[in-house]
Amino acid sequence: MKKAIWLLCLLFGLSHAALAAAEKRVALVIGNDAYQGVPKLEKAANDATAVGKELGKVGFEVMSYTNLDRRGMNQAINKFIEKISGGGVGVLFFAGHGVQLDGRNFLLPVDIRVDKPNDLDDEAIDMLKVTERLTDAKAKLSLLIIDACRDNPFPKKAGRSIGGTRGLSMPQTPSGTMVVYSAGVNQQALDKLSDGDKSPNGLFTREFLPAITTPGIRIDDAVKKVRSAVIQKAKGVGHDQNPAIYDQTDGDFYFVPAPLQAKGGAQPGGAPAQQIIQAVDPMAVELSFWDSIKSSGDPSDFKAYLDKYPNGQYSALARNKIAALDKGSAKGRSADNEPARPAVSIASAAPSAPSSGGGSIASKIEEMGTMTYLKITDLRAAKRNGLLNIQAEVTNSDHKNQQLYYRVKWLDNTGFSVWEDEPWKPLVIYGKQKQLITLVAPTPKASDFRLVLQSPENKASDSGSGSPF
Amino acid sequence: MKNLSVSQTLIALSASTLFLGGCVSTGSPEIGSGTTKYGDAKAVETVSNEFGSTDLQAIAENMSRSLVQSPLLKGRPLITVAEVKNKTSEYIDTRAITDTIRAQLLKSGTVRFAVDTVAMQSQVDEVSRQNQSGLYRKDKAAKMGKMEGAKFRLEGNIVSIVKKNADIKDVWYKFSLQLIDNESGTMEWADEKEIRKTSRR
Repeated sequence: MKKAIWLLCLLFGLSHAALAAAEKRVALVIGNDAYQGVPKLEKAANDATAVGKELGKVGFEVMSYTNLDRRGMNQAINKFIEKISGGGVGVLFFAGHGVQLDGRNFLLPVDIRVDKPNDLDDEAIDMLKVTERLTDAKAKLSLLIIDACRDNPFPKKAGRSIGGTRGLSMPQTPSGTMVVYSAGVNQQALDKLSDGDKSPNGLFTREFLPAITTPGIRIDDAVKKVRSAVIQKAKGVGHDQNPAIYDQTDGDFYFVPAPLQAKGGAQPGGAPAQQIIQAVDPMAVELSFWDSIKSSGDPSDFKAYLDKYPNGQYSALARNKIAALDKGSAKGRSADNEPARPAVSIASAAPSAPSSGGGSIASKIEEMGTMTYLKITDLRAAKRNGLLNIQAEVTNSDHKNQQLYYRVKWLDNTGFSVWEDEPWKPLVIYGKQKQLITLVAPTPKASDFRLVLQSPENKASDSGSGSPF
Repeated sequence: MKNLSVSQTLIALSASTLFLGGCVSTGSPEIGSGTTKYGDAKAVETVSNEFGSTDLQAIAENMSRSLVQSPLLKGRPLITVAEVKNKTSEYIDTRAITDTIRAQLLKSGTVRFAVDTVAMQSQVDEVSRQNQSGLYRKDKAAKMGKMEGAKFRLEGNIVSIVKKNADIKDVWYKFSLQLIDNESGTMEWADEKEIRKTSRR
């Protein structure tokens, strides 16, 4: 057991460095200024170079290009996808013109010449095809940042359906992909805030650059922050620009993970903060550590846990456990008392008098009538794999068998039901038995629940209630 | 009785009026003689001990909740439903069970399902009609050769053991479901649900 734990510690200690070594991080940045057939841009190439530089600082292999024609863009994208295929992490940053047609988004190369809308298919880069290929490539994460729709690039005479449709439409994002647009649907992205604006970068990139190197901030949070800043600054000059985020990623990703001695102390690992994108949830790492030791009878296992996570989520339990084991009572209940993780936290309450306080058993249980013999004596809830898990202990105080019918109402955090009526489930509880019921939420949307109980043979307090039977 | 005051008499009178009023029932939006009733579709059904709605619901719920927890479902993989064999002595529409499982999984948003063998003919018909009839705009027609193959398939079976004597009939069902990787042929997930039903004559 001990050996396994030290191996585990070693593994976690190495996790940052190992991730850095194992995970391929590639960035492709393209900035197109010198358009030939549509209005030229001023800051796109600058934006791309600047973003490339920052990504280089946080451990990305950067492929940086400016003013690419269609063939150049295709080649660059092919190379990029090849590099991140099979578990890599890729960031594609494009600054330049973008256009939307029939709900599809296109990135425009510098040699674009469009006379008919149908030409776009052949002359521009179809975003949908890029995202599809990224999915096929099985990259762990692909982040597409499109600082486009800066201008309506097509002169009116080029065709109404192109010139009339500004900006980019809602993209279809496959899983593991996050697409960020510097402006919302049908909006223009600002290059400068005023005519005297001397900044070398467009508004979005200006806000995005510092977010790359800020440690300990999740990519989605970073992007959201950038969005608020852009919205505010654009509003300041009387313009609407709401960067759009389409997030289909699973798990937490960081450009730079938090430094080790961050507040909360839940960050594992012994190596200094690596400049990497980190895909491991530190809470999950701690939980798996705790799971591996929680039923151990050796106090040194818990000491090892405390050494690693002095302020960890289970530190109080670990101390209790050490105390209990030192006293010689090897079978303390606290070991199994793993507290509920984020979703709901419910303490064990007295069987006969459920308290009415918030988060108590009583607030989660709906008895149809009052059950005389059957009682919920313990109820706990935790989120595992993103799904709410419930465990209820039903105690039969009678010496005869008792029938129970139960089902769960699954609610979201606003109290709305997120699932249809469940079928009633029958359960026999033998005389004097304590029976555990374990239930899993059907959907990740569920974050709260009500356990509905009915027992036909128990007398309801007044006149007996109908049973689902 | 003699000492009843006026107000008490009034209260008694009004109470009886109320009672009379209670006898008049409000019309409800219902036509029929009252012998047919709508019930709870989710109720526990114990009319007889043959395979019933509660068994179907319990199996489907159990299987979908178990599968939804599997880490294999990361990234919303494509799944197809192969056959669930009925090895019991009863008639059981196993397609109804797998349809419910599929609906629950789809609703959870964690997987996608590819068209299965049963629905394949209508899929082929539709795609060929769009492409070969010459009636459709080329850019709006579903393209040939774009269908996606499922990464996994679900298959399983249901068996039963029936025992009876003069007073008791006991039925035990076991539903097993497996998730198999189509490429490698490896079984990646499996679960079972057992149901016991006993009835006395």
